Amino acid sequence: MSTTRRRVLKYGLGGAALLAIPAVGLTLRPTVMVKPPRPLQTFTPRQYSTLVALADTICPGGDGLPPAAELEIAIGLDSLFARMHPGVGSDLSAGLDLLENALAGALLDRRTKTFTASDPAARAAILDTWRSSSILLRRAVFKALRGFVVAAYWGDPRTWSHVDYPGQPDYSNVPSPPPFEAWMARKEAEAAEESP
Amino acid sequence: MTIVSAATLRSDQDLDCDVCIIGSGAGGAVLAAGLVEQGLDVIVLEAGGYYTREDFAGGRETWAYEHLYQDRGSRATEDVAITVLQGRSVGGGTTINWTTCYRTPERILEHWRTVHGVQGLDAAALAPHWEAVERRLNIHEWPEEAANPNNQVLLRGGRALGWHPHALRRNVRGCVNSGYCGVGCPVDGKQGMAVSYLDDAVRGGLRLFANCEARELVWSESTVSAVEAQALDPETDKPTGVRLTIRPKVVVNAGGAINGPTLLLRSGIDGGGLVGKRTFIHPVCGVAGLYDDLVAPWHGAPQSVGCHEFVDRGPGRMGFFLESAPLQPMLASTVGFLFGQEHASFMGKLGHVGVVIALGIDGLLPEDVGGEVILKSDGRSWLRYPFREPLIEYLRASHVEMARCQLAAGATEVASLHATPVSLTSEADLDRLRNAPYGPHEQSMFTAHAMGGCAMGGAAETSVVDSDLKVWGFDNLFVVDGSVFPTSLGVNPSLSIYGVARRAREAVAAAV
Repeated sequence: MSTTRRRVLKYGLGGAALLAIPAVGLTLRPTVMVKPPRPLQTFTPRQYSTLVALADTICPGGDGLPPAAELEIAIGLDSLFARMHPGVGSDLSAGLDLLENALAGALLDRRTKTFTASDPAARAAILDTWRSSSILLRRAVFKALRGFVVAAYWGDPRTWSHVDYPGQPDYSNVPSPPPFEAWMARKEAEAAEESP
Repeated sequence: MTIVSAATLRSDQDLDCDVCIIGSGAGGAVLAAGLVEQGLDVIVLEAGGYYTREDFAGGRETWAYEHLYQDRGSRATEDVAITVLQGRSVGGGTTINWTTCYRTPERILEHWRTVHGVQGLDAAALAPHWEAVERRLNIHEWPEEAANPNNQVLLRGGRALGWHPHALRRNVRGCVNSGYCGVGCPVDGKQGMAVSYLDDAVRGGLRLFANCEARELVWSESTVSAVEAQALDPETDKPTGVRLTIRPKVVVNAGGAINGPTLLLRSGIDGGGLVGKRTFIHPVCGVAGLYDDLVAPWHGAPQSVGCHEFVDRGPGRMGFFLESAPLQPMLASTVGFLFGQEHASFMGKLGHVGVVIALGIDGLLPEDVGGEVILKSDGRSWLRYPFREPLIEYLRASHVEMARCQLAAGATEVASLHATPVSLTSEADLDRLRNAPYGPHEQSMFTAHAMGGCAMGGAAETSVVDSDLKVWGFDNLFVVDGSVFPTSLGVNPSLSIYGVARRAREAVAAAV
């Protein structure tokens, strides 16, 4: 069976909601909230807080590297998704809700805490589970969220010294090639001169 | 007349012309120049923005993927298993491709003629068109000695194994070997469409609207009467409220694979259920090698060596070809599945990493129908691309050969891009790769060669367009881009698209 984004919503959130009826306690496990530096455009405060925790798990920093929070990765992505088709933000919001959901975690991973309430090692273990999960939906969510986070993080020049990446040299003084017709005429004239 | 951003328009537009071309990439641009040269009044609509070398300065990946790629660089197959890199700006994919140019292999053209009923499309018929394009874009061989260390991996490793890697041809003039082809050339050295054919056409009178998205073709019976389009804000991509109605004599859909079929489907043109079908992508996987010497895979011509040792692997097997890929930090970081300290450690070694990629040649096996473009109710379209057995077999076989190449080139360690990477230090470890899992989300995959979806062929029952690229059942609707290919090509597609587009100008002009 193919894994579709629609199924993430249908079986992921929908299923979790149904199962939540007899287990309200777990679904009400609180999210550890993080205040955004600017008004949110795409995510709810809960989803934003989950994304902050996710980004700091994927890109924790250390050894001279800044943590994701320092680079404001989560708020940057919130802004990016506001410039994309609304469906993209909806899909990723659903993925973040799934990740944070303590009930789904309890059923599938035997964890009782939300993602945001877990310590860094536990969060990494959760992501590891999602990365190699037998549930392709989880792999899809992991891949999508990881991709956005690492792209924003390693696209930031403040991480480049770790890679010894110098950035692009300054080419502003390199002239553009001459117009094609003039260039070709010169090339053909030179060829004619060289031929016996 | 110059290039106009539709975002600057303050009122609705109702315009007549001879030909309206939707899309300014490899197909649309070459065709537009050819039609303008014949004195026709041509309008080109491009959903993306118009950007120049000043915008590309600095090689900012974050800016480039957001402004020059479809879906701001995040396009993927429906199950998110394969990243789909496609251009979206004036010049289309040619603004961000890696400049590799091959003529369509004769064996592919022959397959199209014998299996799909394509007529009149052989190497001899295409030769004058290829020659003209090669001259205009200065397509020439990039010398082996100029290959960067990343491409030298394939050259050195391939030769050590007795393969025949070869220098590639590139469309460059005044190239400074920067390595930034994928994020917009900072010196106009790459001869993409914006600095070549579109420039010619605009000087000849072409009207080109950027930030202008075609939403629907208005048609009845066998005739398209109008193209309805909307202006987009270049930063938010949201409609500005200004609408453009183009009333051409002839309409050409050149929006490329995925977007082109999407426009047809949205307009109620499904080609008897064939529009969007037979979409092929040269599915790409890769293997990384760690080297003692500096590779600096972000610097130098991104692709300058290819190897076609495995294009024909016998009946029932998907062939593949090998190339290299550039690794600037942002793009490199998205490859694979690592996170946390493991990922930071990998990124810290990036300067010493060389990568070989394999591109599967999909669509040639009788049972390989490729992927399908699906129109969603929320207005998006997705590519559904199933992992069938020939694809799995190709992934396994190509991983082994890429690892052998890396080891032969002198890598101290070789790592696959699996969810749980497979590490090798000698050929004795190859069984680990043979026994590794392959499938959706098991290994990193991407494509930069979306093709098909409006397949050309000999009959309306089996194809969307005829051999002149006219949509079956229509008098004035053509498709001129890579979506007309009935299979993948086995080579990078840009020159194949240029060739069929230049050839198509006669049929399109005749329909005016």
